[in-house]
Amino acid sequence: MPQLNIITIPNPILKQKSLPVKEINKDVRELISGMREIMLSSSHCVGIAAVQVGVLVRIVLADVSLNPKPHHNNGFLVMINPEITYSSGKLKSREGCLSVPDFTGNVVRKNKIEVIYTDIDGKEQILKTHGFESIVIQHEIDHLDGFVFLDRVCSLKTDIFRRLED
Amino acid sequence: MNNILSLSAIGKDRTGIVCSVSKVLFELGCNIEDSTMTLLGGQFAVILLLSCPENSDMAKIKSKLKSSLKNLDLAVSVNEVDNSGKDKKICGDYVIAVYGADKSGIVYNISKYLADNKINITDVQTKISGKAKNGKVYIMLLEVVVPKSLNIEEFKHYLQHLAQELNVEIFVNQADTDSI
Repeated sequence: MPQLNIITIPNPILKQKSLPVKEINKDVRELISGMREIMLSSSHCVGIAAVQVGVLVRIVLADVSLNPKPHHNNGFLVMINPEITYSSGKLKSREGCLSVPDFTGNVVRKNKIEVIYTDIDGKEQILKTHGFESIVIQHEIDHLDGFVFLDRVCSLKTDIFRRLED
Repeated sequence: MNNILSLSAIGKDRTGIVCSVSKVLFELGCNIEDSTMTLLGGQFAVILLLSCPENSDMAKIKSKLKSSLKNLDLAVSVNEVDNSGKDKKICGDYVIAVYGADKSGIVYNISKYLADNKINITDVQTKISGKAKNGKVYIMLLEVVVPKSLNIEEFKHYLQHLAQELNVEIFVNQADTDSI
């Protein structure tokens, strides 16, 4: 497989919906391995979606254990055709993205999620998670539907000091 | 008597600007009521609302502030302000995110639409993101207060129309005001 490169906004590919993976073949495994390499070689990267390397298929990788701060996590996850089947609660955090260089923004997402996906061995898995890992998975699944975190920004960086005064 | 001053100071970034400015304010007995202090490119900008001690000689305080801060190599402006609107809503109802290939006119065209529709901007941040070889991307986040009379769907629809015209992405989200 040729060298994979991260694509950045405003590349129109990032606005497209990714297609389901039908078969986990050699190409898919190579793609996942290439995505993993990019993840490991990019500082502060804890998740990546296939579309970020320009391939419009529904694959995301997440590995919250790479974050220096301790968070609840399930280690390295390869999620093929992931689907969130349950979500609850709210959590706001500052997000960044390899496809949106030099910028971060506050986004509110669900705290707890349940995701059904196929793993790299073709087995269906159900993952229940919460907190930062849940945020990372939601962020990556958003990519599969053509959204980057900028499309979800809900407050500017000073919001902690600027509460609503009705 | 009104004892509120606005102060803006900007100068080449270095360590100790906030400390130096706040030392001058402390020695004059001025209290920082609200502030924005940030790095803009290589310049550090300080914008403050100050309350001065009761029955102060405002002209004297202004003059002292100006001379002390100029000695710190900062471009300074100090003005007395009418702060009767201090209870005004300072947090927006909606956040507008705009991003696309950098070109002139993005801020003007969007802010013109907002102004024409009496949509008040309460906060703006802009950033040029990315490396030149991939093309630079302009990102703008605005917090706005929308008048009650405005039809939100029409507002969103028009912004999408503007996005097409300017060849940028525009997303509108309700501002989140929950505690974190």
